[in-house]
Amino acid sequence: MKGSTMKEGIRFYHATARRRVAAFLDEGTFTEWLGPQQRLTSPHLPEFDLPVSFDDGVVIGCGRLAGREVYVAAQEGGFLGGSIGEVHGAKITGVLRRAAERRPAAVVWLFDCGGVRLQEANAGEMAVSEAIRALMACRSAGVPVLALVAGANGAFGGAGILSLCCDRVIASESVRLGVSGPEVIETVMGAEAFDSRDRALVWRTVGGKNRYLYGEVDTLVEDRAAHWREAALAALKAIETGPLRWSLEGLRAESEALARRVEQYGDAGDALEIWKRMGLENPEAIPLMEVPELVAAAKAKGVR
Amino acid sequence: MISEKVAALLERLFPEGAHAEVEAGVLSGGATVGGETVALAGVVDGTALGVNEVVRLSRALLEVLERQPKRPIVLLIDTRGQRMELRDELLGLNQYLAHLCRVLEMARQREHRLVAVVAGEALGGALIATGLMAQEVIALEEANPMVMPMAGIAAVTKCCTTMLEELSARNPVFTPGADAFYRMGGIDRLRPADPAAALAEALNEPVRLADHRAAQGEGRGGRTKARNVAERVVALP
Amino acid sequence: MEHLTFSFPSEPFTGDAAAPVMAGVVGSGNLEVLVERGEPGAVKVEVATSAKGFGATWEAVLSDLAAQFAVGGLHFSINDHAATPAVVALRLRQALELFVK
Repeated sequence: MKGSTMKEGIRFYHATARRRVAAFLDEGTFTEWLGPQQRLTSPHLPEFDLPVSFDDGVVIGCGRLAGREVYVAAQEGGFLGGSIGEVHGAKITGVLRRAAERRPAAVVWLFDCGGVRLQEANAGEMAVSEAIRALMACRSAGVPVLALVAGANGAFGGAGILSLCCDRVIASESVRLGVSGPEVIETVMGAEAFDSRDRALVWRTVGGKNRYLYGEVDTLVEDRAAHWREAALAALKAIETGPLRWSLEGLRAESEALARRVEQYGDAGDALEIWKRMGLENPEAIPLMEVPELVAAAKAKGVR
Repeated sequence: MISEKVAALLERLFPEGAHAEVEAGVLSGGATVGGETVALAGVVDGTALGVNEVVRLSRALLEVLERQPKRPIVLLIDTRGQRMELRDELLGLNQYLAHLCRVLEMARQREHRLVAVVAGEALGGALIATGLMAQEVIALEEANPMVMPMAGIAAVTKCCTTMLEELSARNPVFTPGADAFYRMGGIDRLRPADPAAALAEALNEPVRLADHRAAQGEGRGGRTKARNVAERVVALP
Repeated sequence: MEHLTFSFPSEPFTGDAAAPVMAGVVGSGNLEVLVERGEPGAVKVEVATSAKGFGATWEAVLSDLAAQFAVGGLHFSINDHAATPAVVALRLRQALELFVK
């Protein structure tokens, strides 16, 4: 059917949150919760003489993914960088708490977020913490939470932390994940610390490819709706059949893996050196590689 | 070797006795409170929380979880924030901080009473990954938790500091400091007159997994929407 | 911020559409438009805009919309972040198109 082919090809990077949700879920299955007609706007932005958004920059609701009931949260990167404010954060926390009670097949969080909304900094910080707890309670209830990092803001600051609290992280090669943005590091520590104008440096440091190669990102996808869907379904299957990460044993294993990463690459200085140490041939070519090529190369070398 | 600052803090908080080791800013140890042994862990002396620090802190905490079931844990926090260096971002600091959050959450879910004492600064991601994962947060006189210094907020929001300062007098939603976080519901005990007694009380509370902070913030007038919005999603038919 | 309200006569909207729709995003130079069913009769438009002093321009763009399309009985709500009249007109049409679908 022509309609579904077009939908499958949709790229998420520049799409609106609503469009991503519509392209991700099974056709016509999405029901939005606390949508724009409820007008749950930020009580703080007017103090800054800034316009509000009727959904405070996040779309939440439920739908189906290959027939399975899932809850979704999709951040609108075009509104204040997808940042987490009081209402925005509470909507997401509500989804996670509801999921822990009602047990859908999964919660899918489409990340596009630069961090806490500074105009509401403290409320945003609290929202991140409350979302973390709700996320872990959801996972404890047996409901997987997937992070799909799809948008131009990637997942930074509190969102960088939240995404890595999820069961699996799926990202496209063009997104970035981290805590402090390169521009922030440069402002605070100087350009010698991090030259944020060196785009190649930025991409290979915090970009999806680097995160994928050493295991922070579980799945690297080409930015097409069909691939995001496929990757989400595969992730759910892997969670069902794989070792339990959210357990004391799982945490100990992760702790040791993170210690090893520091041991192996702590003095590397640059991603190119990390990739060289991984045994990847021609590390300079990695930024230019297409996703399938990179994934195959990583597999061939036993890196992934 | 522990610093004078840390030694003084331990004396203040643990009249029944405490012992700790500090290795490059990461603290581990134990203390006695109400006759019971508690574990100590934390980031002190204003040390930034980076990948190295998380590795050490994680190991110290996991030791407790693996070997001392249900032992209460006191987190001591005096950190200038997440480490802002290319090296830490290169290695994936966001994953390290998330890991730390999950270790602390696991502690609570395994019924370790977890109380945080903010004894200095606690910024941004470091605050999220330490103090804000605790069941109770005690802020001492010298506590200065924040998302970002006001000058940084001014720069990013393109507002002048004067305007921000005026606004913050009316609205604690972005103001740095313990009072603002108290009003947000994020701090439970603010500048207790007797920190040791407050800590003992907090450690005496039963383990409580439900997150009441949004309600707490609403009650104190700091967050008027958060509790209600989250509840509305849960309550939908 | 400036808040404006408008009401224009317009041919009644005759579609089946019931569910509210949104078009656009509140980014710099952009706006979001929410379309809902309103009171029968005139078309009502509420605008919250960060660009002050453009009342006459809004009046012109919105009255154009009311004249060109049968939107009587609809309610448009707008959060605007200094979009140009061309972008405003575009989003209004996009919102209406989505609403009709």
